[in-house]
Amino acid sequence: MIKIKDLEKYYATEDVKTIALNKLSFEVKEGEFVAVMGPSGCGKSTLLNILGLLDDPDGGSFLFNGTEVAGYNERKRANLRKHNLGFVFQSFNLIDELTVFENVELPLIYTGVKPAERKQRVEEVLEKMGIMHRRKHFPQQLSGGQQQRVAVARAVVNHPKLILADEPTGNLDSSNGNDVMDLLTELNSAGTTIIMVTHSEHDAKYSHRIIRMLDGQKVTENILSEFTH
Amino acid sequence: MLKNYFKIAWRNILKYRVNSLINILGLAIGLTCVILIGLYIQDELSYDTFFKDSDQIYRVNIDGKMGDNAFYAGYTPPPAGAALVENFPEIESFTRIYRPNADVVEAKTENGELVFNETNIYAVDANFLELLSYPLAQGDPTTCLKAVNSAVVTHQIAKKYFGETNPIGQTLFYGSEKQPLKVTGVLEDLTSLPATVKFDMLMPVENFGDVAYFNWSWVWLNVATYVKLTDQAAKDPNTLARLESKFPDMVKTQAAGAFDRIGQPYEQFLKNGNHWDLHLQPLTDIHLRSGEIVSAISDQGDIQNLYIFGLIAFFIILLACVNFTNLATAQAGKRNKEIGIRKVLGSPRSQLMKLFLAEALLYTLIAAGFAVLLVFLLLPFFNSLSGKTIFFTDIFNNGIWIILIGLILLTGFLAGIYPAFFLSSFKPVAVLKGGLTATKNGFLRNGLVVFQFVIAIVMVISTLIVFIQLRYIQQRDLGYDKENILVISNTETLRKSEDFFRQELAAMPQVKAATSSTSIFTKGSFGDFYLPQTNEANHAVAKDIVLESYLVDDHFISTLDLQIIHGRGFDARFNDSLSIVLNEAAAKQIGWVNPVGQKIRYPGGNMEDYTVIGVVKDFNLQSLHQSIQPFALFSNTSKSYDTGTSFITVKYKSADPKELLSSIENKWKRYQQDVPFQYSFLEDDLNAAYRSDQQLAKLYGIFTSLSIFIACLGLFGLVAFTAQQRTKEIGIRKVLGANVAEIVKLLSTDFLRLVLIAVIVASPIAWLAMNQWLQDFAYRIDIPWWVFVVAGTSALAIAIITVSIQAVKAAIANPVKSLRME
Ligand SMILES: Nc1ncnc2c1ncn2[C@@H]1O[C@H](COP(=O)(O)OP(=O)(O)OP(=O)(O)O)[C@@H](O)[C@H]1O
Ligand SMILES: [Mg+2]
Repeated sequence: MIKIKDLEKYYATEDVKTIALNKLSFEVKEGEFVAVMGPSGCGKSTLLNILGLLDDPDGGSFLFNGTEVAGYNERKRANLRKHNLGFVFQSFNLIDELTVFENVELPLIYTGVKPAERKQRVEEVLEKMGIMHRRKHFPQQLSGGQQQRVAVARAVVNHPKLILADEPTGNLDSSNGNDVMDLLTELNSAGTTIIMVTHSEHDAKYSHRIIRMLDGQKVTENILSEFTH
Repeated sequence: MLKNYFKIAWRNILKYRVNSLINILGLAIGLTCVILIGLYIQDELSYDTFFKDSDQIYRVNIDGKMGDNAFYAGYTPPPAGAALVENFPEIESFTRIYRPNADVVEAKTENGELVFNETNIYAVDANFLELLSYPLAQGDPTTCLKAVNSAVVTHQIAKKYFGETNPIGQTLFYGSEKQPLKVTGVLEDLTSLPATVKFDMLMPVENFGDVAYFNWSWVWLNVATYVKLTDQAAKDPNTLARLESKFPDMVKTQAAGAFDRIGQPYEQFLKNGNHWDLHLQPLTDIHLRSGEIVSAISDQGDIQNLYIFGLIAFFIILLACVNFTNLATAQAGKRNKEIGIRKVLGSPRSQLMKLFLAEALLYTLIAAGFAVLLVFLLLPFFNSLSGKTIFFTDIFNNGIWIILIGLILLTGFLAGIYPAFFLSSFKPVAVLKGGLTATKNGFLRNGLVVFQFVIAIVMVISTLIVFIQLRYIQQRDLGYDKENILVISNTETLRKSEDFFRQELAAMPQVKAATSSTSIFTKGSFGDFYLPQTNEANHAVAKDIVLESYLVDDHFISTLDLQIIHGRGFDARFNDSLSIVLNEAAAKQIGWVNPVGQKIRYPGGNMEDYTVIGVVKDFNLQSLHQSIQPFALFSNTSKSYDTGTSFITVKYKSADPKELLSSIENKWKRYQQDVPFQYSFLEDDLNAAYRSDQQLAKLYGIFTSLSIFIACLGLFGLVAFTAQQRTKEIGIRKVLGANVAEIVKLLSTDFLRLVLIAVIVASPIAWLAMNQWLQDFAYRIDIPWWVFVVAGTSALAIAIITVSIQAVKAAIANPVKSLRME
């Protein structure tokens, strides 16, 4: 599903040029659950932003479902993004002014789903995440774990083929964290590809494979469980 | 302490640069407008106040009604002044002004003769400069006009004729008779003097036979009379009412003879519902409070314009203050942490309020600095636009600078008071938790945005209507074709050869026709009193009528394309010396069923009866400010009266009259070497009447654009702020798939809805106000509906552009960057 080769990304500030990704290559198959680990500053978030089509690489190739997407313009990327990708952030990134229901509904609005169907699908996913009773609440009125559930709900409501999660449990205590990991595993077994950045060895164990990075490069890969189609 | 406040305020100004810039720019423009308008108003209010004892001086006005002709004018009959002084001890002295027709003045210099046509010579009584203390540079005000052959000139005129030579004692030759006048006084330059009556030259009224001739007449209203009350009388507020109550009896005694002579015994005249009342108007009221009182020698404005400008100034500064309030409260979200910490550390609310007020004041001070600079730079432009001569230093005169300081304090207070209350009211805990967001205050902010745009849109609509109305009156049918018409003045100086000259012009290939007449449109007319005659068949007609008239030759009607509705015009085949042509208005007012063949008697002449030979379609003598008056044409063979003036009016064919002008001038020089060739285009003369309207309209237009600009500045700031506040949200939405258009729409709709509300609120307000304004015009437009559409759409369009600039910027920002900030 995803194949990157010699991916490069630089950040140039006034005095230093940071190489955030240095000729990084790997492949992720459809249905896989991959964890990305590495010390702070090694380029994990940068990688995820590129994989999530939020940012453009400076070099290398990025095949998404067999199509070269490196160098896509913003409009094309946005289009690809809203139909295929779901995001879960460490800081949840819910919109404070919108209710739980409205937050989850947003991606459906942007992909042009009709209101009646939207309602049905949002309720379905809220039910599944166990936060249906909170649908009229605002993000500030929820605990961190609940907020992250909403964020996950929002990420999956559009049935994306790929979910990108950047330290989804980073702001949560272990029990809430486990809940979120269970949710992700469940989604994965239902067929969704997941790429997750994490600092936690515990969380990484939920995946099929761990990609370890250092200074923008892949160092090792641990295969935890054999992934089969 | 105060220094400390300012220091912190200064840091905040630097910290929030965009907002600071918007605030300072808005306030600076606002203050600039207010200062300019203030100077303008101050100048208008200062008219005639520089005269010594100006509070003791009054103009004598007349409120008259004779038949259907009612008027209120700043003129009196010649004997009124003397009668007032004689009958009332409270009235100390009087002086009179008479404005003769333009005439030539000549000086003999070393380099030969210098001749100019002088249009602004006034004839006055000997004590004129004593009573009205115009600034004399040389000469004695009490004696310089005593001798009949004396003349007082302004600096400019002196320079024009005598160069650097001392003008005192020099001789000027007046008129075609070359009457010698000795210069006995020199006036300072009057151009920048705030006086309602200005002139280039003064000469004793004794030189003008008309005034002496009509000294019996209480009906001949051609002099302006000013009187001076005694010191004591002027102090008593009841003097005026007491005096005016005694005037009718005096007029009755004094005017009886004159009214008998014109065939209108005064008792009978009053019984017929007529009146002839004198009134006193304070000198300093003439410029702004003359209302309907007409005068051709005084520069009379309308105080209503000052109210309008004052209101505009107030609104513009209010707009700028609203910007400040809006941006400050919007910023609250950003500043609540600062405020919270200050409160946690024990700052009392009052101190926080002082801090915010100091901040507002600092903004206003900086803005005021820029405003003063802007005023300095813009003043020449403003002067040329408004026709004033205001000096930058006027700011420091007459306590204007005190007002300015007051204005700065007030503006700072207006701008800062609400934010001070609002920001200092935050609960520290809530603030520190970050629970408080600026959206809480959205209602007030939205209200203020609507308020700003209501003002701006009302001004846009009004300006549009003003311009449409002015265009309308300029282009309206005057009853004749005003294009391609050249008016040559001073043709009476050609005497017997005038008609040869005219014939020669008419024969030129570029000329369609030429006519000579005692006056012509825009140049004034001779008004007098006439008696329509009745017979058995025709008795239901007006007993008397005031007719304005010209004496014209046989070519007048055809040259100017006036339309004859009944009868005929003057014609060489008939003897028309006792014929009269009326306009429709005159015929209608008299009320004859069939006017042609009827007779009109002229008691002011020798009681001749004139026979109506024709009626022409109405035409306007002046600009369209005035409505059409009853008017008559006499043949120039009639000699019914003598104004001593003549004009030749030429209707030409060519589009470019330059060549024509030079060949006419050559011909003129062959007939007349002593008097310079003087001409004007009728269209220009007509447009001159609209100049002050246009000046006002342009000023109004400029202030309108500025108010729109300030309102948009505020909108710009608010959108920028909202976009900033919603950066995270925008980022999330983009990550979730929103495109640029969707984000722009998200940020814009709310603001545009506010502007739309403003359009809806503003339209009826503007309609009511402008309907009122239009009432002052004799010819006015119906307010067209599209004005509202145009104003509304352009306000929306400007708002959309303003909002979009910011919204697009926010929308195309990379979502990764904005999310990273979390
Ligand atoms: N916008 C930016 N400008 C400059 N340098 C940047 C920018 N974003 C990231 N970097 C640098 O690129 C490198 C990789 O950053 P990245 O955010 O991908 O690290 P990370 O692996 O996600 O770290 P963490 O585990 O702490 O989240 C770092 O050295 C970082 O300082
Ligand atoms: Mg990271």
